[in-house]
Amino acid sequence: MSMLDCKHVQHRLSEFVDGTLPESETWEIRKHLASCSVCARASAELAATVRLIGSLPERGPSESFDDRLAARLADLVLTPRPPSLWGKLAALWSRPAVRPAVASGLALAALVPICVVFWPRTVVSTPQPDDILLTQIAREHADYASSEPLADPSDVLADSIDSEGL
Amino acid sequence: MGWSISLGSGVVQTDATLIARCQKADVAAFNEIVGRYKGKIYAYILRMTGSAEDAEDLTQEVFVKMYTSVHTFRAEASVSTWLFRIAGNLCIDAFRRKKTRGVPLSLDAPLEESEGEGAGREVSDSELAPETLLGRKELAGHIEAAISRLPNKLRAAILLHDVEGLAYEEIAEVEKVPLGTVKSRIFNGRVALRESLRPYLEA
Repeated sequence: MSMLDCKHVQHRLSEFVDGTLPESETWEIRKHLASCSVCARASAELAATVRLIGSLPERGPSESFDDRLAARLADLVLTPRPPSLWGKLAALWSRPAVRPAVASGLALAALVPICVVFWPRTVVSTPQPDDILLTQIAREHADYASSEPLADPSDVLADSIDSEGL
Repeated sequence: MGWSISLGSGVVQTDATLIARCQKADVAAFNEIVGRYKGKIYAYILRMTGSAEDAEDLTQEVFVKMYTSVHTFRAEASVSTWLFRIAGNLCIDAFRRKKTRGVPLSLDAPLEESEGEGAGREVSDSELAPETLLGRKELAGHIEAAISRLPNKLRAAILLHDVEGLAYEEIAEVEKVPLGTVKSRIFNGRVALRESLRPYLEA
Protein backbone atom coordinates (compact mmCIF):
# COMPACT_ATOMS: atom_id res chain seq x y z
CA MET A 1 0.00 0.00 0.00
CA SER A 2 1.11 3.57 -0.58
CA MET A 3 2.08 6.14 2.09
CA LEU A 4 -1.25 7.89 1.48
CA ASP A 5 -2.97 4.72 2.54
CA CYS A 6 -0.87 4.63 5.70
CA LYS A 7 -1.93 8.20 6.48
CA HIS A 8 -5.58 7.33 5.94
CA VAL A 9 -5.27 4.22 8.09
CA GLN A 10 -3.52 6.03 10.93
CA HIS A 11 -6.24 8.68 11.01
CA ARG A 12 -8.83 5.96 11.38
CA LEU A 13 -6.97 3.95 14.02
CA SER A 14 -8.74 5.57 16.95
CA GLU A 15 -12.15 4.53 15.66
CA PHE A 16 -10.70 1.17 14.58
CA VAL A 17 -9.54 0.52 18.16
CA ASP A 18 -13.02 1.44 19.41
CA GLY A 19 -14.62 -0.91 16.90
CA THR A 20 -16.95 1.78 15.60
CA LEU A 21 -15.94 1.71 11.91
CA PRO A 22 -18.15 0.09 9.27
CA GLU A 23 -17.36 -3.56 8.69
CA SER A 24 -15.94 -3.02 5.21
CA GLU A 25 -13.52 -0.31 6.43
CA THR A 26 -12.52 -2.42 9.43
CA TRP A 27 -11.68 -5.27 7.08
CA GLU A 28 -9.63 -2.96 4.84
CA ILE A 29 -7.64 -1.66 7.81
CA ARG A 30 -7.03 -5.17 9.14
CA LYS A 31 -5.71 -6.13 5.74
CA HIS A 32 -3.42 -3.11 5.72
CA LEU A 33 -2.14 -3.79 9.25
CA ALA A 34 -1.25 -7.32 8.29
CA SER A 35 1.11 -6.02 5.64
CA CYS A 36 2.37 -2.75 7.21
CA SER A 37 4.48 -3.07 10.35
CA VAL A 38 4.54 0.73 10.95
CA CYS A 39 0.76 1.03 11.06
CA ALA A 40 0.47 -2.25 12.97
CA ARG A 41 2.76 -0.87 15.66
CA ALA A 42 0.89 2.44 15.79
CA SER A 43 -2.36 0.53 16.18
CA ALA A 44 -0.99 -1.66 18.97
CA GLU A 45 0.37 1.37 20.82
CA LEU A 46 -2.90 3.25 20.51
CA ALA A 47 -4.82 0.24 21.81
CA ALA A 48 -2.37 -0.04 24.74
CA THR A 49 -2.84 3.68 25.47
CA VAL A 50 -6.61 3.24 25.59
CA ARG A 51 -6.21 0.26 27.94
CA LEU A 52 -3.93 2.32 30.20
CA ILE A 53 -6.41 5.19 30.40
CA GLY A 54 -9.21 2.74 31.08
CA SER A 55 -7.23 1.20 33.94
CA LEU A 56 -7.48 4.33 36.08
CA PRO A 57 -9.05 3.56 39.44
CA GLU A 58 -12.47 4.95 40.27
CA ARG A 59 -12.51 8.03 42.42
CA GLY A 60 -15.23 9.11 44.79
CA PRO A 61 -16.16 12.12 46.88
CA SER A 62 -15.65 12.23 50.64
CA GLU A 63 -17.87 10.28 53.00
CA SER A 64 -19.43 13.54 54.21
CA PHE A 65 -20.62 14.34 50.68
CA ASP A 66 -24.21 13.18 51.20
CA ASP A 67 -24.60 15.04 54.49
CA ARG A 68 -23.22 18.24 53.00
CA LEU A 69 -25.51 17.92 50.01
CA ALA A 70 -28.53 17.30 52.24
CA ALA A 71 -27.67 20.46 54.20
CA ARG A 72 -27.46 22.49 50.98
CA LEU A 73 -30.77 21.15 49.73
CA ALA A 74 -32.59 21.67 53.03
CA ASP A 75 -33.97 25.08 52.02
CA LEU A 76 -34.66 24.16 48.40
CA VAL A 77 -37.70 22.54 46.87
CA LEU A 78 -37.80 19.58 44.50
CA THR A 79 -40.29 21.15 42.11
CA PRO A 80 -42.66 18.68 40.42
CA ARG A 81 -43.04 18.88 36.66
CA PRO A 82 -46.30 20.66 35.70
CA PRO A 83 -48.70 18.09 34.19
CA SER A 84 -49.30 18.18 30.44
CA LEU A 85 -52.81 18.87 29.05
CA TRP A 86 -53.32 15.14 28.59
CA GLY A 87 -52.13 14.56 32.16
CA LYS A 88 -54.59 17.14 33.46
CA LEU A 89 -57.45 15.49 31.53
CA ALA A 90 -56.45 12.07 32.81
CA ALA A 91 -56.38 13.37 36.38
CA LEU A 92 -59.78 14.97 35.91
CA TRP A 93 -61.22 11.76 34.44
CA SER A 94 -60.03 9.78 37.44
CA ARG A 95 -62.24 11.81 39.81
CA PRO A 96 -65.36 9.86 40.90
CA ALA A 97 -67.93 12.58 40.14
CA VAL A 98 -66.57 13.40 36.67
CA ARG A 99 -67.54 10.27 34.74
CA PRO A 100 -71.33 10.40 35.48
CA ALA A 101 -71.34 14.13 34.74
CA VAL A 102 -69.55 13.62 31.41
CA ALA A 103 -71.93 10.72 30.53
CA SER A 104 -74.98 12.90 31.27
CA GLY A 105 -73.54 15.73 29.19
CA LEU A 106 -72.91 13.41 26.26
CA ALA A 107 -76.48 12.04 26.49
CA LEU A 108 -77.89 15.56 26.43
CA ALA A 109 -75.68 16.45 23.51
CA ALA A 110 -76.96 13.40 21.63
CA LEU A 111 -80.56 14.52 22.23
CA VAL A 112 -80.02 17.90 20.55
CA PRO A 113 -79.97 16.66 16.90
CA ILE A 114 -82.93 14.36 17.61
CA CYS A 115 -84.97 17.30 18.88
CA VAL A 116 -83.95 19.41 15.92
CA VAL A 117 -85.10 16.76 13.45
CA PHE A 118 -88.37 15.73 15.08
CA TRP A 119 -89.55 18.92 16.80
CA PRO A 120 -92.90 20.27 15.23
CA ARG A 121 -92.25 23.63 13.61
CA THR A 122 -94.16 26.44 11.79
CA VAL A 123 -92.78 27.68 8.51
CA VAL A 124 -92.02 31.37 8.57
CA SER A 125 -90.72 32.76 5.33
CA THR A 126 -88.45 35.70 5.48
CA PRO A 127 -88.98 38.29 2.72
CA GLN A 128 -86.11 38.14 0.22
CA PRO A 129 -84.54 41.37 -1.14
CA ASP A 130 -86.00 40.78 -4.63
CA ASP A 131 -89.53 40.42 -3.18
CA ILE A 132 -89.22 43.71 -1.29
CA LEU A 133 -88.08 45.55 -4.44
CA LEU A 134 -90.92 44.18 -6.56
CA THR A 135 -93.48 45.09 -3.90
CA GLN A 136 -92.14 48.62 -3.76
CA ILE A 137 -92.21 48.97 -7.58
CA ALA A 138 -95.75 47.60 -7.77
CA ARG A 139 -96.85 50.08 -5.12
CA GLU A 140 -95.26 53.03 -6.99
CA HIS A 141 -96.80 51.84 -10.23
CA ALA A 142 -100.25 51.63 -8.68
CA ASP A 143 -99.90 55.17 -7.27
CA TYR A 144 -98.89 56.69 -10.63
CA ALA A 145 -101.33 54.61 -12.62
CA SER A 146 -104.18 55.97 -10.60
CA SER A 147 -103.11 59.58 -11.17
CA GLU A 148 -101.03 59.83 -14.37
CA PRO A 149 -100.96 56.59 -16.24
CA LEU A 150 -98.58 57.88 -18.98
CA ALA A 151 -96.17 59.54 -16.57
CA ASP A 152 -95.25 56.41 -14.71
CA PRO A 153 -91.43 56.61 -14.27
CA SER A 154 -90.99 53.01 -13.23
CA ASP A 155 -89.20 50.66 -15.65
CA VAL A 156 -91.94 48.10 -15.12
CA LEU A 157 -94.45 50.24 -17.04
CA ALA A 158 -91.93 51.14 -19.74
CA ASP A 159 -91.03 47.49 -20.20
CA SER A 160 -94.70 46.52 -20.41
CA ILE A 161 -95.30 49.24 -23.05
CA ASP A 162 -92.27 48.01 -25.11
CA SER A 163 -93.35 44.43 -24.87
CA GLU A 164 -96.78 45.32 -26.18
CA GLY A 165 -95.27 47.26 -29.12
CA LEU A 166 -96.87 50.58 -28.21
CA MET B 1 -26.15 5.43 29.01
CA GLY B 2 -29.11 4.07 30.91
CA TRP B 3 -29.34 1.76 33.87
CA SER B 4 -31.50 -1.29 34.15
CA ILE B 5 -29.77 -3.84 36.29
CA SER B 6 -31.11 -6.80 38.15
CA LEU B 7 -29.40 -6.90 41.50
CA GLY B 8 -30.07 -9.98 43.59
CA SER B 9 -33.78 -10.35 44.07
CA GLY B 10 -34.53 -6.67 43.45
CA VAL B 11 -34.54 -4.77 40.17
CA VAL B 12 -32.66 -1.49 39.95
CA GLN B 13 -34.88 1.13 38.40
CA THR B 14 -33.87 2.78 35.15
CA ASP B 15 -32.69 6.38 35.07
CA ALA B 16 -35.87 7.32 33.21
CA THR B 17 -38.03 5.83 35.95
CA LEU B 18 -36.08 7.64 38.63
CA ILE B 19 -36.33 10.93 36.78
CA ALA B 20 -40.08 10.47 36.36
CA ARG B 21 -40.29 9.96 40.14
CA CYS B 22 -38.11 13.04 40.73
CA GLN B 23 -40.51 15.02 38.57
CA LYS B 24 -43.23 14.04 41.03
CA ALA B 25 -41.09 15.51 43.83
CA ASP B 26 -39.89 12.09 45.05
CA VAL B 27 -36.74 12.90 47.04
CA ALA B 28 -35.84 9.22 47.49
CA ALA B 29 -35.53 8.88 43.69
CA PHE B 30 -33.31 11.98 43.60
CA ASN B 31 -31.06 10.46 46.27
CA GLU B 32 -30.82 7.27 44.23
CA ILE B 33 -29.61 9.22 41.20
CA VAL B 34 -27.06 11.01 43.39
CA GLY B 35 -25.79 7.67 44.65
CA ARG B 36 -25.60 6.36 41.12
CA TYR B 37 -23.70 9.28 39.58
CA LYS B 38 -21.77 11.13 42.28
CA GLY B 39 -18.65 8.98 41.81
CA LYS B 40 -18.56 9.43 38.03
CA ILE B 41 -19.25 13.15 38.19
CA TYR B 42 -16.71 13.66 40.97
CA ALA B 43 -14.02 11.72 39.10
CA TYR B 44 -14.67 13.68 35.91
CA ILE B 45 -14.49 17.06 37.65
CA LEU B 46 -11.46 16.00 39.70
CA ARG B 47 -9.56 15.09 36.54
CA MET B 48 -10.73 18.22 34.77
CA THR B 49 -9.81 20.66 37.56
CA GLY B 50 -7.02 18.73 39.30
CA SER B 51 -8.36 19.76 42.70
CA ALA B 52 -10.15 17.41 45.10
CA GLU B 53 -11.62 20.40 46.95
CA ASP B 54 -13.02 21.94 43.76
CA ALA B 55 -14.27 18.55 42.64
CA GLU B 56 -16.16 18.05 45.89
CA ASP B 57 -17.75 21.53 45.73
CA LEU B 58 -18.58 21.41 42.03
CA THR B 59 -20.06 17.92 42.31
CA GLN B 60 -22.32 19.28 45.04
CA GLU B 61 -23.23 22.12 42.70
CA VAL B 62 -24.13 19.67 39.90
CA PHE B 63 -26.67 17.94 42.11
CA VAL B 64 -28.02 21.20 43.51
CA LYS B 65 -28.66 22.32 39.92
CA MET B 66 -30.28 19.01 39.16
CA TYR B 67 -32.47 19.30 42.25
CA THR B 68 -33.70 22.76 41.32
CA SER B 69 -34.24 22.11 37.63
CA VAL B 70 -35.22 18.45 37.29
CA HIS B 71 -38.80 19.55 36.50
CA THR B 72 -37.49 21.00 33.22
CA PHE B 73 -35.68 17.81 32.18
CA ARG B 74 -36.99 16.24 28.96
CA ALA B 75 -37.88 12.58 29.34
CA GLU B 76 -36.21 11.58 26.07
CA ALA B 77 -32.79 12.93 27.10
CA SER B 78 -30.10 10.96 28.94
CA VAL B 79 -29.51 11.67 32.63
CA SER B 80 -25.78 11.01 32.43
CA THR B 81 -25.45 13.32 29.43
CA TRP B 82 -27.34 16.02 31.29
CA LEU B 83 -25.24 15.69 34.46
CA PHE B 84 -21.92 15.61 32.59
CA ARG B 85 -23.00 18.69 30.66
CA ILE B 86 -23.75 20.57 33.89
CA ALA B 87 -20.40 19.37 35.27
CA GLY B 88 -18.53 20.49 32.16
CA ASN B 89 -20.10 23.94 32.27
CA LEU B 90 -19.21 24.29 35.95
CA CYS B 91 -15.60 23.34 35.16
CA ILE B 92 -15.45 26.01 32.45
CA ASP B 93 -16.82 28.56 34.93
CA ALA B 94 -14.21 27.47 37.47
CA PHE B 95 -11.42 27.84 34.89
CA ARG B 96 -12.64 31.34 34.07
CA ARG B 97 -12.78 32.32 37.72
CA LYS B 98 -9.26 31.04 38.32
CA LYS B 99 -8.06 32.11 34.85
CA THR B 100 -6.39 28.75 34.44
CA ARG B 101 -6.70 25.81 32.09
CA GLY B 102 -6.96 23.35 34.96
CA VAL B 103 -4.52 22.48 37.67
CA PRO B 104 -2.33 19.47 36.89
CA LEU B 105 -2.83 16.64 39.32
CA SER B 106 0.01 15.92 41.67
CA LEU B 107 2.19 13.06 40.53
CA ASP B 108 3.03 12.20 44.11
CA ALA B 109 -0.34 11.90 45.75
CA PRO B 110 -3.12 11.67 43.22
CA LEU B 111 -4.78 8.66 44.83
CA GLU B 112 -4.28 9.76 48.41
CA GLU B 113 -6.15 13.01 47.81
CA SER B 114 -9.44 11.21 47.68
CA GLU B 115 -10.04 8.66 50.35
CA GLY B 116 -13.76 8.63 49.88
CA GLU B 117 -16.02 5.69 49.33
CA GLY B 118 -15.32 5.53 45.61
CA ALA B 119 -11.55 5.55 45.75
CA GLY B 120 -9.86 2.45 44.37
CA ARG B 121 -12.99 0.34 44.15
CA GLU B 122 -11.98 -1.50 41.03
CA VAL B 123 -9.78 -4.07 42.79
CA SER B 124 -9.40 -4.27 46.51
CA ASP B 125 -5.95 -3.02 47.46
CA SER B 126 -5.69 -5.65 50.15
CA GLU B 127 -5.63 -8.30 47.42
CA LEU B 128 -2.43 -6.90 45.92
CA ALA B 129 1.18 -7.34 47.02
CA PRO B 130 2.71 -4.07 48.38
CA GLU B 131 5.08 -3.66 45.44
CA THR B 132 2.24 -4.27 42.97
CA LEU B 133 0.08 -1.77 44.81
CA LEU B 134 2.85 0.82 44.70
CA GLY B 135 3.38 0.11 41.02
CA ARG B 136 -0.31 0.51 40.28
CA LYS B 137 -0.53 3.78 42.17
CA GLU B 138 2.58 5.13 40.51
CA LEU B 139 1.31 4.15 37.10
CA ALA B 140 -2.10 5.69 37.81
CA GLY B 141 -0.30 8.85 38.91
CA HIS B 142 1.61 9.01 35.61
CA ILE B 143 -1.58 8.48 33.61
CA GLU B 144 -3.47 11.14 35.59
CA ALA B 145 -0.60 13.58 35.11
CA ALA B 146 -0.45 12.92 31.36
CA ILE B 147 -4.19 13.48 31.04
CA SER B 148 -3.98 16.68 33.09
CA ARG B 149 -1.48 18.11 30.59
CA LEU B 150 -3.92 17.79 27.69
CA PRO B 151 -5.78 20.90 26.51
CA ASN B 152 -9.20 21.17 28.21
CA LYS B 153 -11.26 20.09 25.20
CA LEU B 154 -9.13 17.05 24.46
CA ARG B 155 -9.03 16.15 28.15
CA ALA B 156 -12.82 16.34 28.44
CA ALA B 157 -13.29 14.11 25.39
CA ILE B 158 -10.76 11.53 26.62
CA LEU B 159 -12.23 11.44 30.13
CA LEU B 160 -15.80 11.14 28.91
CA HIS B 161 -15.00 8.43 26.36
CA ASP B 162 -12.09 6.38 27.67
CA VAL B 163 -12.68 6.75 31.41
CA GLU B 164 -16.43 7.27 31.83
CA GLY B 165 -17.45 5.23 28.81
CA LEU B 166 -19.73 7.67 27.02
CA ALA B 167 -20.38 7.02 23.33
CA TYR B 168 -19.28 9.52 20.66
CA GLU B 169 -22.89 10.66 20.22
CA GLU B 170 -23.34 11.25 23.93
CA ILE B 171 -20.15 13.33 24.08
CA ALA B 172 -21.37 15.38 21.12
CA GLU B 173 -24.50 16.08 23.16
CA VAL B 174 -22.53 16.90 26.32
CA GLU B 175 -20.10 19.22 24.53
CA LYS B 176 -22.61 20.52 21.97
CA VAL B 177 -20.18 19.92 19.11
CA PRO B 178 -20.49 17.88 15.88
CA LEU B 179 -19.72 14.16 15.95
CA GLY B 180 -16.66 14.67 13.75
CA THR B 181 -15.23 17.12 16.28
CA VAL B 182 -15.66 14.56 19.05
CA LYS B 183 -13.84 11.88 17.04
CA SER B 184 -11.07 14.30 16.17
CA ARG B 185 -10.61 15.34 19.82
CA ILE B 186 -10.48 11.74 20.98
CA PHE B 187 -7.99 10.85 18.25
CA ASN B 188 -5.73 13.82 19.01
CA GLY B 189 -5.97 13.24 22.74
CA ARG B 190 -5.03 9.59 22.39
CA VAL B 191 -2.10 10.36 20.12
CA ALA B 192 -0.80 12.92 22.63
CA LEU B 193 -1.22 10.46 25.49
CA ARG B 194 0.50 7.73 23.48
CA GLU B 195 3.58 9.91 23.30
CA SER B 196 3.41 10.87 27.00
CA LEU B 197 2.86 7.33 28.17
CA ARG B 198 5.16 5.55 25.74
CA PRO B 199 7.46 4.28 28.51
CA TYR B 200 4.51 2.53 30.15
CA LEU B 201 2.94 1.00 27.08
CA GLU B 202 2.93 -2.75 26.87
CA ALA B 203 4.90 -4.16 24.03
